[in-house]
Amino acid sequence: MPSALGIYLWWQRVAERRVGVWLLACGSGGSLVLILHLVL
Amino acid sequence: MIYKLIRRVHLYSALVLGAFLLLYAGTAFFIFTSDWYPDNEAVTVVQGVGAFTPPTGSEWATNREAARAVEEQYRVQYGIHGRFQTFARHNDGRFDVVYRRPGAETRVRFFAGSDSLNVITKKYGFNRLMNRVHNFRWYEGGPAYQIWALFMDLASLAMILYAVSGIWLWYTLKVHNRSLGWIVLGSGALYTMGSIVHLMVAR
Repeated sequence: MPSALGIYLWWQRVAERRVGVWLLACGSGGSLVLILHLVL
Repeated sequence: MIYKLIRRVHLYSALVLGAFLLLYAGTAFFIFTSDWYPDNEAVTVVQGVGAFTPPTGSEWATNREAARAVEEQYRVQYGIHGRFQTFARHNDGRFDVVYRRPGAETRVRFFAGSDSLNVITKKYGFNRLMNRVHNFRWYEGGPAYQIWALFMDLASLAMILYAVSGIWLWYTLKVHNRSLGWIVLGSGALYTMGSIVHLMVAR
C-alpha cells in the first residue's frame, strides 16, 4: 500500500519522472530477470 | 537542502528496490495465507553411473576444497541448476550431495557398495515456493545468487530506513496541523510495542 501510494505521489511530480521511470524500469526489469533465472 | 537530499535518496532507492520490496511483501502474504492454496510437489528421478565413497565428517571439515570439487563435478555432469547446499549422510550408507534454488531441490544420491547413483529433483508446490523465495539468501553460489542476497539485504534494510526517513520527511513538511499524523503514528507504535511486550511476557 505505501509502495503504491509512493509511486502515485512521485508520478504527480512531472519534473522527477524521467530519471524515476528509468530507475523503476531497470530495477523492476533486472529484479524480474534475476528472480525468473533462479526460480525457473 | 537536507530535505531534498533525503527525499531523493528515499524516492530513487525505492524505485530501484521496488520489485524486491513487493516480492518480500507478496511472498509474506502468501505464507500467511498458505492454507488457501494446494501444495503439490513433483519428484523426478534420473539414474546415472558414478561411485563415490564419502570421507568422514572431520575430513570434509578440513578439506573444503575437495568437497567443493566433488559437488562441482556432479553439478556440471548432470546439468544441475541450483547452488550447492550441503552433504547429507544417511545411516544405511546412502550419501547425498544437495543443491537448492528457490522452488526446487536436487540431490545426487550415492549408494554404499554400488556404482549407480540417482539424481532426484523435487519441484516444490506454490506454498513452499513462496516460502523459499521469501527466505532464500546468504552470499553463496554464483553471481546471480550473490546479487539476489544483496538485493534482499538492501530491501530489508530499506524497509527499516524508509520508516525513519518517511517520518522525518512528514515531520519537516510545513503543515498547519499534524494532529492526525501524530494520532496514527502514536496508535500504530503503541499497538506494535504492546503486542511485542504482550507476546514476550504472556504465558
